Amino acid sequence: MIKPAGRWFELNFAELWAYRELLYFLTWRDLKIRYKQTAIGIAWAVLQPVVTTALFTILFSTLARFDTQNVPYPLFALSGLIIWLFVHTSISMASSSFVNNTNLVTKVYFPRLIVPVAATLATLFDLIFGIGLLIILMLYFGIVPTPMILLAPVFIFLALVQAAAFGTLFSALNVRFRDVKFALPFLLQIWMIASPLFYPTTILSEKWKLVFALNPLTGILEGFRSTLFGTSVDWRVIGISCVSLLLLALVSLFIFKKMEDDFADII
Amino acid sequence: MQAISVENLSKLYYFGDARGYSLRESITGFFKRSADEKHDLWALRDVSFEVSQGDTVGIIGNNGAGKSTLLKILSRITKPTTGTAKIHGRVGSLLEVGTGFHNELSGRENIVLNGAILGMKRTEIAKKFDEIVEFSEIEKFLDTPVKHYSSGMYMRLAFAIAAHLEPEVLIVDEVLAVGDINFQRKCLGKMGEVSRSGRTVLFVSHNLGSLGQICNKGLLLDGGRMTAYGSIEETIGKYLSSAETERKFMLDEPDESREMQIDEVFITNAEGLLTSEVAHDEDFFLEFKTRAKRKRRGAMFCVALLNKNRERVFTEHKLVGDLMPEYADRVHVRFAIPRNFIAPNKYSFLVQIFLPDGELIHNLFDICPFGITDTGSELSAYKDYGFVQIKGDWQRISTDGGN
Repeated sequence: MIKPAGRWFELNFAELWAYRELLYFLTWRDLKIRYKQTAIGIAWAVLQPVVTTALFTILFSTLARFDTQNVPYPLFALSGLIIWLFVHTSISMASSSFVNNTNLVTKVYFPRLIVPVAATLATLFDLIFGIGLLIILMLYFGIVPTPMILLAPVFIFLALVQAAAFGTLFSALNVRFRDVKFALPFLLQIWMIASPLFYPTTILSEKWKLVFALNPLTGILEGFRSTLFGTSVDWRVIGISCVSLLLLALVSLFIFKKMEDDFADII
Repeated sequence: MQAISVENLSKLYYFGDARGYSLRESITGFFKRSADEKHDLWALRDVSFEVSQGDTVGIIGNNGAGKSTLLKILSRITKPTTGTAKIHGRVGSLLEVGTGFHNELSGRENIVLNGAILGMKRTEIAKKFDEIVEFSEIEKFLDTPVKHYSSGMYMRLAFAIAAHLEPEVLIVDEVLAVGDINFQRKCLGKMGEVSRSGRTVLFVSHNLGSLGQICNKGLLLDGGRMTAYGSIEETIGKYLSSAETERKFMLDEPDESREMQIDEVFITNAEGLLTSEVAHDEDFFLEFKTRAKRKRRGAMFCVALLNKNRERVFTEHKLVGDLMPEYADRVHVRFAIPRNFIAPNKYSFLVQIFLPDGELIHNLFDICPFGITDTGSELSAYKDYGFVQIKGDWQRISTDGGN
């Protein structure tokens, strides 16, 4: 049944499920071509966090010393960075996913949501390398994990939701407004500074901490670190971040669904 | 059983809007909305039709008639502005060959990926894989990235995947115009096979020949509206007769000194309608009107068909006196050219009146340009097969070395 676009969005889960194989293949394709024609290939997935961690460590363990609750600074930095790099890279990749796959939009039908989500999932692979790196560094520093570590995947999942939500939002906006190409790197930069990536939330006043918690990444980063290193964590922050994330994800999905009907006509 | 039923389908494109790629245009556009209504275009207007299961429908029309828009709506790529369409069964659409092909991936990888994009299940692709490879004739290059393929190999692979799609309703846009003649014929054969297997097919092509061969029904679009829907022969006929009928020759400066002159020359089809495109298997007529001041014994009408290089294909003449034993100052003559005789191509006419001593009274060279279109002959895969059609008689003399 084909009819004009409705006023409200309908999300057809049965259809998304029916197209799961396409999601798999598109993810596989994005992954496969990501590092084609690069000299060092997959090593980029390792090089980026390593170099940035080293840079942060040099900068912040000499210039400014943060209270990281006895977590060695390189570990503190790397644990945040792998999450951030994943979110950052997948949003960048997803935002251009439609524009780079114009033919997929104008020549075939499938639930459009698959394209940005595939771009996000493909980046998950980099995160796996990052986690490997993190484990090596944890062993090096002799960190003995607490049972809390079993909760770490929850925060990785939340990071995935965050990445997919914004990736989806910006992919749709980019179809309509190519301004996204210019605005996004800038927005991501501000977001990075506003997230407790290279500083802990302990440097913030009680009030500001809760304001910062509106940024879902605050809760995700804090939560991820506390599960890894067994440090104390403000559950209010996590709670606010989770609610904020849920709302942002729903708004992103809503905007995406509103815009997707016109994709083939305006791309 | 109706496989497809379309009701009052319309699609409006806002051109002013579509160009608003940047945020600034969108913001300014918000404040002066509805100012740009003249940019609106109805790509499709109130189209309604039904397709029975197993029908193969050819969609015909000039560029911009709305063919692609119709296919895009039925493929769910874009939504209609108003109207509805119901389709029963799984739809496979093929608006382009090789959608989603990636240059860096090998042939093998692209088969799997493209299959998934076209809606095949993984098990289905695995089952058809060998068939696809064999059809595409690229066995040796299966693991080479497709960026190293020749354009022919690329197209063959892309079509091979698409051809093995097995939905209940198949929507195909102008994809047969690829590859060399042999491959085209193979594709056409495959399409025929698909339509004979009882599946419903919607097929857009500018090649009336292949439409005539494959389809049983035709749908004619003109400026977004459906102007005909019926058997493929009827629809093609209607399309041909609607195409540029203004090729009539009219003498604009009568020369009073001429003893005889030709005032009008035009081509008509079997229904007596003016035309400039005729089907290869249709009789057509050259008609002309002449005027004479007085009777001239031995005057001759001469008609010759010119090919696209303006060389004569045939010449035929007739004594004027034979056509009008009694003298009349005006005469309207009709010259019939039988069907299945002149091959599909571009032609024009030479029409003359001359006297027995060779004096040309009136000479019209290269007038009434017209085309003969292949609407489904055995040779329709050839773009140009000369100027005459013959049914050659083939006989086997022997099967071994000449004994």
